[in-house]
Amino acid sequence: MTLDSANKAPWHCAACGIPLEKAKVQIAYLGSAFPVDLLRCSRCGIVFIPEELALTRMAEAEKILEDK
Amino acid sequence: MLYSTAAGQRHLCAMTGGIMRPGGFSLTDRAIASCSFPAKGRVLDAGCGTGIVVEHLRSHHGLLACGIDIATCASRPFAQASVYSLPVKTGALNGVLCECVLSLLPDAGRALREFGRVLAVDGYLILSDLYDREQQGCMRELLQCCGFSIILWEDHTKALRELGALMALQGLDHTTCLETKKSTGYYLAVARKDTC
Repeated sequence: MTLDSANKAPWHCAACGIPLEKAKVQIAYLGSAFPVDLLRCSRCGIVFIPEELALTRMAEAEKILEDK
Repeated sequence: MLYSTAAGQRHLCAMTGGIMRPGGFSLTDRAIASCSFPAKGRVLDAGCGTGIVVEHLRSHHGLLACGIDIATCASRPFAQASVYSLPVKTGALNGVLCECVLSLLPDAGRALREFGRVLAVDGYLILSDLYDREQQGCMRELLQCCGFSIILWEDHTKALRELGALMALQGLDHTTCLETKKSTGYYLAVARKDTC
């Protein structure tokens, strides 16, 4: 998965103050889990989901899993 | 049909670790567990693709597995043949697997009769494929008409949807995976060749 929109500017964790790093993250929905490359804080583990991803691919994947 | 282009085929292959269909090895293993194959039983993967399931059957189930596929591939150590005309003697096999292939064929009944020819009496046919959930009786009837008794029939549409969701997350066209009909599902079936 590309992180085009997220890569335009460096993102930092507001709580830890360190740059987010690209990491393989498990996204779970309705009992199914998928490995996705996202930006994550290596200290606290918080994950950044770009708006573009949430509104397009992720929304489409949710729709498929919901059987709609 | 899970893919319609060479590029789509490559993406699907990479995403599924070469197995290129919903459910991965777990569906194959589940079907094998419901069969009573003899030690070193002879099984054929009809439409073996990359041959990854053939290797799995050999290494994890101790079966004498081989594969055929209509597609040519120089690096693939399996025979090129049509499922309508298998290069196998009549009654020579303990099992035939045909995973995510039957729905692509113009004449599924002809393929099922050919599977029946190469199977020994009480041999097992393992199928997993796309189907119309509103018309599952059609496939069951076809199996029975071709001389098979169904011993396992399970719906695994969730596995199909998970593959579609993974394709969507990767930004790939998943419409070929899920077709356009809401009733498209995925089944796993095990059938035994009847005595006569």
